[in-house]
Amino acid sequence: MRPRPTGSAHSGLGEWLLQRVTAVYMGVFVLYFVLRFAIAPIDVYAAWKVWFASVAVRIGFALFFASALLHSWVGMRSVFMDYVKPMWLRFVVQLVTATVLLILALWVAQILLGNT
Amino acid sequence: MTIRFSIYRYNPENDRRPYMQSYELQNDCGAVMLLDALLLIKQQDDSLSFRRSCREGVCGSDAVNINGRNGLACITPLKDLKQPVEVRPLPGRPVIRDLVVDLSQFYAQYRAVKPWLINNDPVPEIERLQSPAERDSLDGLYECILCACCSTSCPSFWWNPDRFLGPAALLQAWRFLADSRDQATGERLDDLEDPYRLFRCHTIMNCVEVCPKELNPTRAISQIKEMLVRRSL
Repeated sequence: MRPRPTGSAHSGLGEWLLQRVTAVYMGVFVLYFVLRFAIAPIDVYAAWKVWFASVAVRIGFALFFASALLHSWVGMRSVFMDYVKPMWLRFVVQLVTATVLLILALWVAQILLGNT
Repeated sequence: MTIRFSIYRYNPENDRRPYMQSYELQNDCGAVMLLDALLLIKQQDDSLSFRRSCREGVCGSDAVNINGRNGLACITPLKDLKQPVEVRPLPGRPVIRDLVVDLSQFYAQYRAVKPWLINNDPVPEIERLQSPAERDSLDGLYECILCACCSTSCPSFWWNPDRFLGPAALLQAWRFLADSRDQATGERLDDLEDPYRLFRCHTIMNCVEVCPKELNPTRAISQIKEMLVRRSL
């Protein structure tokens, strides 16, 4: 079958960049997190609550989860684009993935913004 | 002592499905490269089909899959190959017969990157000049012989051969983006910026691994991406 040229979608660069930037942030954050707990472990819930009450820590976590969700979105979409051929099925799996990731995002927001 | 071969056979007119056929050659048959051996085997069995032309790694027509790895039969020394030497057609392409595959899609992707110089200035009397440094930036790009070893070893090209340009075409896309005489850089980048055409490359690097000319399509692809980033950041 000859490819029928439909031209370029003029997109893709943003997703590709996002994938890299979020990967770098997650790498740095995980490194920080591991070192932080290796140097000064927090072993009681009260101490964890104090640490987690800091705005900087919450923003750090918020960015981490935002990165993880965006990274998964780009990555999963990439897998679907490679392997899922029927257009309707690709649409459905992308929609399901987006919904699940959105629910996770709202859940993370609820945890990070909550007081408990 | 003999050299043993196992060669993919398929004639769509007679065979219901492809099969592997064994052949043997004497050790002193005189074959140095795999292509020599294939030609001797064809003397035993003239129904075996494969492409070849220059027999010295210049024309790129005898690309086949040798013991699981794409390469040119004419420059693959027989003595380095594990026996039985398994010879199959290039993967992922429709087989026309035996080792001959249909590369029309591969060529269509090559044409799609407009692999020619686009320059709207009046044609100069002698030639379009380049500095030695500008000329040097084309090294490692123009040498491609379009044998298709790279694109047919690329999983992204296997899954989306109709939409992903593939390493060979992308190497040529960069060859003209890198050319100081070309004036269509913007249009070329516009055409490439697409989730399929360019961004199906996941830097698997099979293309670099198999290129018989030791070119590096993966580096060319990252240079295209870098140019796109510089354009939009």
